[in-house]
Amino acid sequence: MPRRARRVATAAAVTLLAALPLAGCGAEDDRGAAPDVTPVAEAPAAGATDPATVDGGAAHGLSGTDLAWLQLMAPMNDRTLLLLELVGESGDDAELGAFAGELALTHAEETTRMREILDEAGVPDTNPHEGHNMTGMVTDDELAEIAAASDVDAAAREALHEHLAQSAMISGSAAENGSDEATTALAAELAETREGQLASLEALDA
Amino acid sequence: MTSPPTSRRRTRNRLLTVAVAGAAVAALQLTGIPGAIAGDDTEAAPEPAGEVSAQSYGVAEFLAECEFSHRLPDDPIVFPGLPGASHMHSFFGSPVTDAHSTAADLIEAGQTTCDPLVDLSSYWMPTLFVDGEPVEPQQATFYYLGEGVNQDVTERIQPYPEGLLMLAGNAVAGPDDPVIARWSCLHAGEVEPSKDFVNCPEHSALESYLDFPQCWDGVNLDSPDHQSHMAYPVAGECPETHPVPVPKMRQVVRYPVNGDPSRFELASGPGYTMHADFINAWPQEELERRVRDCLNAIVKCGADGNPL
Repeated sequence: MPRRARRVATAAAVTLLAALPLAGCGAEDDRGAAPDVTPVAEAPAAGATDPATVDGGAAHGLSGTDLAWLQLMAPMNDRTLLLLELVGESGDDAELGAFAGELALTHAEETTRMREILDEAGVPDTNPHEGHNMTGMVTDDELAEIAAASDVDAAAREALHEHLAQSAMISGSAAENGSDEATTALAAELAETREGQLASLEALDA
Repeated sequence: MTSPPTSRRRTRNRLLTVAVAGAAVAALQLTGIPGAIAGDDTEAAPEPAGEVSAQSYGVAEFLAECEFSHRLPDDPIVFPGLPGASHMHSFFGSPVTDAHSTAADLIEAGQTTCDPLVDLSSYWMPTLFVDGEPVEPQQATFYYLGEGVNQDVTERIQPYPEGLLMLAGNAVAGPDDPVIARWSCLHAGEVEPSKDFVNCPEHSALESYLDFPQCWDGVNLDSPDHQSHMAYPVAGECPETHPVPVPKMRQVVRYPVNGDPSRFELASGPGYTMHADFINAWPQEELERRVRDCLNAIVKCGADGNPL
């Protein structure tokens, strides 16, 4: 989606405000009569806050984008491995099974590299999105649904498609907007790998 | 991907405006401490032991009332630079916010859906879906309060630093996790507030309350988990680790829906996953003036930052 295009779309909203009645505070104070308030003798001077603040969203050489991508993609790969395992165990389509086996290898290898970068940066190996139903992330519920589906292969293909497309897109953004060299290199590689895997999956669908 | 808001919102946004005044009262009664409950329209909520009730010395408040701006599966705090990585969010305030936005971008754009027009900040929360369709609040009110801390602390509240990022609530909360977010019913105080969606009577509307942390570490505008640079007060004081008292932001959003809550879902999941994000892009002098004249002085102010 073109980013700049969106920016102009909502400019008109501002003009609506001038016509809006002031609400929410227009009523009298319903919390009871305010007692006499002693004037505050020493209110902090304006600007008393130390301006030497830092953007703490980054961690040990990783930018916010680097960190967000690594901490999203590592669990996303982990969760996908569970799906790929399910395909190998319960699927009927031999071609899809073989494809899932290849995906499992690349996913595991990528995840190891992601965790190495996180380790080096001293970031604890936690999943900030644990249990969260996100696009491209295979949840426990989705796994159970796929396992119980009348056509496990079809259900698995659909989930794989979502995962590959989403991780391709996000990795492309991370490659472009991240800053750590190892992270952006891995993200670029992963974006390309995912595009290829997506094409392979679509070829299987055909 | 979603489209930008349509003209439909122009009419919808007016509908509950008159109701906001009444709801503001209820809004003030939620302490934001897990376990505390929102009150009805007349009674103050009980304050936990050790808390000093704001009622005992007056109201320190200013606010911003903002219309819905746009929806995007973006989160410039949690997934900066990664458009589409997030669940769907509903944005208020700056109409330009996307996955790439920084406070500087918002200030440069100079636009807002808020009253006051000087508030260029961005506020967002997970989109509410009813029967699978997105439903937007007509309006969201962001109260900036001096309550929740002892009076001497209120008098020392500082403006947020420029560019401060904040999160409140827990997007990945489970059913047994303690959460700060509360759901209640506008004009239906008999419905007990809950951390999950509530069943609001026909004349009523579903509303959500969420209090942001009000103690800052004094150094970081953000942190790797986007939360640990901020903290909630303990027994009316900011903890030593987060010694700088800042305004307590209370987000109140009201949805034009009621009835069976099984039809409701947030983009992040069940009701207790309600959370919200904030990028501070107030002009510093406007924020400083409000903090000094309304919060430190313990005076109830309007959106213009002047005493009512």
